[in-house]
Amino acid sequence: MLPFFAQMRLEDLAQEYTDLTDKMIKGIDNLSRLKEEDLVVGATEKEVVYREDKIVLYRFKAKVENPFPIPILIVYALVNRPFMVDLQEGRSLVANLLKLGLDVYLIDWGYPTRSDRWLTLDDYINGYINNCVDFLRHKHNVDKINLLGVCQGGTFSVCYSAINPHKVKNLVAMVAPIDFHQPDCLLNMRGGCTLGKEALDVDLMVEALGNIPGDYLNLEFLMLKPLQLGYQKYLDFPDIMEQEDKLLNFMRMEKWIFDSPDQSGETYRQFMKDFYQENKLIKNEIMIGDKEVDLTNINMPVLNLYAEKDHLVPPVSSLALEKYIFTDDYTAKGFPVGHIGMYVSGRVQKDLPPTIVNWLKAREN
Amino acid sequence: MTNNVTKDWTETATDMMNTWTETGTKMWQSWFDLMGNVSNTPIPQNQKENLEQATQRFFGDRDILVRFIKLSVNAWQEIFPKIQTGESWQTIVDKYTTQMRDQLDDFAKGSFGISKNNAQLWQLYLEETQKFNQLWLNPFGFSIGSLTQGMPDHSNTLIELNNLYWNLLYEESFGSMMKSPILGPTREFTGKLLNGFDAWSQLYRASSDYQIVLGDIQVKSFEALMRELVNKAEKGEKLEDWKQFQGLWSRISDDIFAEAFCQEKNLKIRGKFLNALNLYRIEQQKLLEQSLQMMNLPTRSEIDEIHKTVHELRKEVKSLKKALNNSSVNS
Repeated sequence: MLPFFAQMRLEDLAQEYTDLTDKMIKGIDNLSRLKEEDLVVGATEKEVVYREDKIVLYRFKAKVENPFPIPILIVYALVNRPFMVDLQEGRSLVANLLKLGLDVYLIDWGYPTRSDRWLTLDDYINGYINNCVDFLRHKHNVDKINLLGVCQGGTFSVCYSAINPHKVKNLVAMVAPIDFHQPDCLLNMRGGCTLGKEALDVDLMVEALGNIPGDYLNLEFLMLKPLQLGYQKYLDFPDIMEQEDKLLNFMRMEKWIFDSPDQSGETYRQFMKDFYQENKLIKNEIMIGDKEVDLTNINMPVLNLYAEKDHLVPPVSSLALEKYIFTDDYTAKGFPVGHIGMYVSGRVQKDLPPTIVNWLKAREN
Repeated sequence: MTNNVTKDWTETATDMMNTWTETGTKMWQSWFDLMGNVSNTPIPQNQKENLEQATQRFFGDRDILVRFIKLSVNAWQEIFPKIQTGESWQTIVDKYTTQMRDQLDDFAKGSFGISKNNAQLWQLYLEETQKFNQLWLNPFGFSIGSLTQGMPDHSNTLIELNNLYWNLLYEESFGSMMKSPILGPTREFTGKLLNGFDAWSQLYRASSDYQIVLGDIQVKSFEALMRELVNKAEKGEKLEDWKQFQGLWSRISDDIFAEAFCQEKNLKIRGKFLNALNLYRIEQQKLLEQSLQMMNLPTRSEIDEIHKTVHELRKEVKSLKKALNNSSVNS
């Protein structure tokens, strides 16, 4: 006596079963023709312009004759691969920024191995980011460049801008966590924003694991919505797999989600303890190596972009930035999507790139 | 609607549900088989084993999910006629939740039973130790895998009871003995072995508590799902197909899950479990290093030490190069 069965006729159910079988046959055919090489992410043409250890700085090929004279450097998170900003044709933040005239660079952090276990935030921020910024300043013969920090890369960019305000012309922070003590966010709670080491003893974890496995982090993200992310989404798979383009999109996302580099142990230790558990960033207590992060040093124009339905970085965490910086040119803009929707939503890809480019253009001089 | 018709529909519904779940299983089976064969290059044996394990694991999980769905559907089959006739349906939900909670009791009692018997604990520990090089994620994955196994409410009581057993029967007897100094030429190795056992025992205990919390979430999800189905039926809203039903169930379960882990008491239990897992791994590592030393092989600690030195030297070289560049530019 189930409404959802009882209200369906047997013929309909039989028809649905036949349809499903058809989809399966078509889908299996599509799947068997698909190869790993077809799942390429990072579609836009690019060249390597700088390398250091495992990191690579890419420059994307300009799509206009005279791009903006001041380049923009995209700093992505250490979690997952940075090519989410260039997932595929038609869903690429990078391609859209290029079309609108920007000269775009991106840091690829690579895959840390056990030999990178001792890399610290000092190495990432005062080392790699700073060296990439200096490289671009020198190459373009400018004193300052534009920074676009995404997610954890946004937090890094904020720290970098506070330490080196003389090198950053404009700062764009996208879905960047700033205030980590937002108890409505399950990720923060599990990271120990209220309980500290009682929720997660980070020192013990780093001692036990050395580097933190990407698989563990994936599991952590899946466990924020275990059934919806781990089971529910695959129920639509028969519908998806019968259409080649949809199947390809789905598989690309799968690749991106599960292609998750390990985190260097020391970097993870400091990020989790100082940022998540002790919320030192907004207290101006963060030390990156021997350099103090004082948010009041951020005096350049700031564009703060956030996702209104973000379950990883709640808007209130990103929006906190305004309270602690010392700029008279601050703009915040929200988009009606979740964290991932910022990169893949067609609607956002129409609005987001012009928002960034027009904002930068207005501050060109 | 007559009883006969109801029976017909109940049978039909059950048949259809079985067809759907069977179809789903076959579909996933094809999917995993296909994934195993789609590569142009032959899959190495170890990867093949991993794939098979993943397949089994998925089916294991799926089997649990299907059992949960069946339980929900059975409950709903009993509830729906009551709603139509305006009778109380709550007693039926209670009957099913009691059934699930009884399962938790069985689980918890089994766990307490083991904790009472140190010889059995030791045996289990040795079995775990044999899997010396297993991935750290295995026990974690195992625990998560059991997420949907029907179990608990009155979880606080069970957790307290679990802790009481451990405090009385392990900590104050065998547990305290673990901390006593050991005599003889094998004292170092025996000490490490016993520390490993202690860490494993703590993990066993923390894992039991964590399982109870997860089981509790499951029972609450079931109750919330039934409530939501009744609400919808009373409003005349209908679910069109099985996918909608599973969608509703996933959303409700995830909400209950998030709510549970925003509570500090549950976060602490999860934290204890994770911390115990890491401590156990550290103790395992110590034992492993002892074996490696005996075989004159490099240990993790030694390699880490080398990596640290290389990292520091590399940093120093970079800084010196920078200083040299700056001074040559200035001069």
